[in-house]
Amino acid sequence: MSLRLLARPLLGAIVFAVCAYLVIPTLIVVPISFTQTDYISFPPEGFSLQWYETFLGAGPWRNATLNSFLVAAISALLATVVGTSAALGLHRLPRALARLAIWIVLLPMVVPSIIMAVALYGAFASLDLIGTRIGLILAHALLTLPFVVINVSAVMQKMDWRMVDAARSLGASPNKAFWKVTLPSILPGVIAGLVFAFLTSFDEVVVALFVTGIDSVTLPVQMWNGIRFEISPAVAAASTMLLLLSIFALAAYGAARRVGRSAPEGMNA
Amino acid sequence: MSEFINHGGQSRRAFLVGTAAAGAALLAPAAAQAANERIVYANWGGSWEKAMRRAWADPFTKESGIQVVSASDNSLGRLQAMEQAGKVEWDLMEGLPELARVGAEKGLLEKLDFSIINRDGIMKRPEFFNDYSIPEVIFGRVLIYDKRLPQKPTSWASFWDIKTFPGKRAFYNKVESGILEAALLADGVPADKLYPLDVDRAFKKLAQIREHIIWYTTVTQSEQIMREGQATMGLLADGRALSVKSGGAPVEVAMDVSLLTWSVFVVPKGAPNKEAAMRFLAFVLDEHRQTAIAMAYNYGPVVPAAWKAIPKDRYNLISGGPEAEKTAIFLNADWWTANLQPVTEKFQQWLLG
Amino acid sequence: MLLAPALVLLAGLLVWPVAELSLRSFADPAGPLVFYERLISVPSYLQILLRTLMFSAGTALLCLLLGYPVAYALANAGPIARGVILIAVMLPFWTNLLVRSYGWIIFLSPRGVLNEALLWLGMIRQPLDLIYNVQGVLIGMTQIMLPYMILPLYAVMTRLDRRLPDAARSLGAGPIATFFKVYVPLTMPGAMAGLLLVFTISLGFFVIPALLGGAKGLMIAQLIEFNINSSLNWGMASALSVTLLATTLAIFWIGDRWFNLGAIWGIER
Repeated sequence: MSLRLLARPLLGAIVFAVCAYLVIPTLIVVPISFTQTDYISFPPEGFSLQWYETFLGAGPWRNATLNSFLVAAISALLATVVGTSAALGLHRLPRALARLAIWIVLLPMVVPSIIMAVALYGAFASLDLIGTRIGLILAHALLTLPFVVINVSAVMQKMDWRMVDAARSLGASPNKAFWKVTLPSILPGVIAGLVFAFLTSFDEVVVALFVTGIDSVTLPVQMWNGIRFEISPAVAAASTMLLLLSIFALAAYGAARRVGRSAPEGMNA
Repeated sequence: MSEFINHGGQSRRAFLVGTAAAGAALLAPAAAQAANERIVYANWGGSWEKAMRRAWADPFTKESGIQVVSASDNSLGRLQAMEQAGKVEWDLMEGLPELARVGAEKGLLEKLDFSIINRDGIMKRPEFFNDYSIPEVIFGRVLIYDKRLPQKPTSWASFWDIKTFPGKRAFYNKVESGILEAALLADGVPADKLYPLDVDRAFKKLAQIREHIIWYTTVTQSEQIMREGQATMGLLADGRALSVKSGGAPVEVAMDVSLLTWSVFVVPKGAPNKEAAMRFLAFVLDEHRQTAIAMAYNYGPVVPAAWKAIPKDRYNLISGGPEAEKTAIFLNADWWTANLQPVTEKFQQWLLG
Repeated sequence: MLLAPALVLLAGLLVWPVAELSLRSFADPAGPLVFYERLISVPSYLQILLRTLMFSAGTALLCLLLGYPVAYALANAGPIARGVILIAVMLPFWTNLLVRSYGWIIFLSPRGVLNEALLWLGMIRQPLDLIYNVQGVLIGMTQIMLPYMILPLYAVMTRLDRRLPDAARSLGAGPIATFFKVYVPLTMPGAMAGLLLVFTISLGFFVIPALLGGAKGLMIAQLIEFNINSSLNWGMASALSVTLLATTLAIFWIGDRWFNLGAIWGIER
């Protein structure tokens, strides 16, 4: 038993260290964002909000942020509509076919992002879509589609389909049954998918690096340029804002899941 | 967007169509939104971009009403990729002298309009004159070192002397940035016998300190590496080196250990607003604008008349000035243009090997 | 019918662009396999391919090493401790990749937070080399991939039949023997799923090696980017992409067949 007594604090120490390792790079940006200097220094020298002024004031950072919101909102909506529809369709397929179809729908998540980026760069070049928002929105809708399908499917697997049958047998049209019965019961999954899709698009950098142009720069692209070409603490201010957004989205997703009580266990938890 | 959700009775198809229509309205082409005239100027960024804005872009906008928008990653590859993709966004691009010649050979550049740009004032060096470029500024690649080193480095040979000068060395990972010249000078090749470069000898010399080199991939990174003390010695553009020093970092710049070169302006083929780009170039070559950039960033004017308004005490800080030119060595752009590609390939192999 | 919009999106933005990209890799006038021959005959290419495999394997092993105790603690902790650990695992998972890379730059630089702290404490005399090299890539990739290891392990551990280790104990096996002879083998499916997932996703990493790897940390995705943006060799970029894609898909397929990788995404067999 003495071994057990030793093992517990040891395990605790290891777990604490790993958790610290996971969290440190995420939180370290916060103090840096208040520095007075125009380079990164630690401990930060002085206290100033100048980098938040740079970030929020008129200029490339604000443009990029607004652009990211626009692109993420539209592409997430698009992915949610298409993905919810696909999840409903998958549910009706025979089991063997559904399995294959699921893998096809999940492909955008499996294909490495650099390959998606290069392939889309080539395709968009011939369609004259490079540097346009519509190109990026379509690309992000594709990339976030799997997350919607996963979240909606998970809720559907636990859903009580007899309700829909009952509504139909009471004379509801397929449309009415969908809007009054099916949609409300899968709504938590749909919202969880929407939140996940929004955040995924908002964070996506590799494809955006290839297909955006000077007028469609997104926040991650601006940050990439900031890190590679500027090393300016404005990146820290942007990072802090993104961290807040993540916490907010995580809370929203958690709430949607708790209502759904049945979103997937596992990586999207 | 909430209106979609309220239309509960709508059929799914109408729902989709509605989404698409609303989307299309929001997606008016980006170009149509840019009401003001502007030029997109691909530059090196960082402290240089700030100085350039003060000395050139802001006064230009004030005078002409044309906005100057900065773009990152001013590389030939990036330009060529844009041309291949059929979407050139840059109106103006700065780069090393090789850019003008290699770019012109590959058909990537517009001929400059010398009815708008007046070249008369430019320093009479033959390599400054061609159809596709004008020189931008003269700058040096200098030795910058950490003041905490036990001794003062005095030549490129100090760079190779890890025992006396411990610590890492910072080099640009572009082979044309003076690395080979520094290696050969450190190896005892006399300055007037540098070209044609003995490439193999240079790589052999480089291999001696291979483990001690930090390669910076962007010029802004070079400032960070020296500021943070990641390296104790570096081969940096002098403007960057002086910017690190004036930022308060414990570094010193050996202005006399320097390789002089210059940067050029080119206009990419298919630039959306090349007319305005030519006007910007004409503006920049004005003697007062050249003085302004020299005062803002210590880069040497390419128009000799600009020296008139520069105080004497700044002469030895500014590249290509009457003082610095005595000891400095000019990089040979002709040799580099002819050999850039094979030497770059060799360099990349060497980096990995 | 319901699947149609998703299939259109997939066909137009995934299948067609990727097929076109793949075709380019065989399109050299000198013969269809020229680019692939170069891939194995040019030493630097081969070196980067091998390095990519090694970095990914190293990341997967590090994730297992660090993730196993955390998953174990998650499965056996009380509700409060579990909540805290879950937040530590999920927060970085939801945080922008660039924020985390930037955080590592601040934290690991020679004059960064960690080195300054260690120097100040007198624990080191020279700053440690932790970034812009192999170490930087492994530190960054492991942090990003850890949740992909912890969550499948955690899922397996919570489903584990507790009676088996208990039975082993009652038959007289010591705690250590029980742990390694009974518990660990029972959690192997989760570990294998995690290893495969981490390894495969790591193969395509671009942002981390580009920002934290320096010249020594080059991986295949950067080589693809370099061939597109710098040396303009679409054929070579395509051959590299096809190699990466085929490897990725093959491993996912194997993983799904033998280790039920799909369960991680909530896909039921």
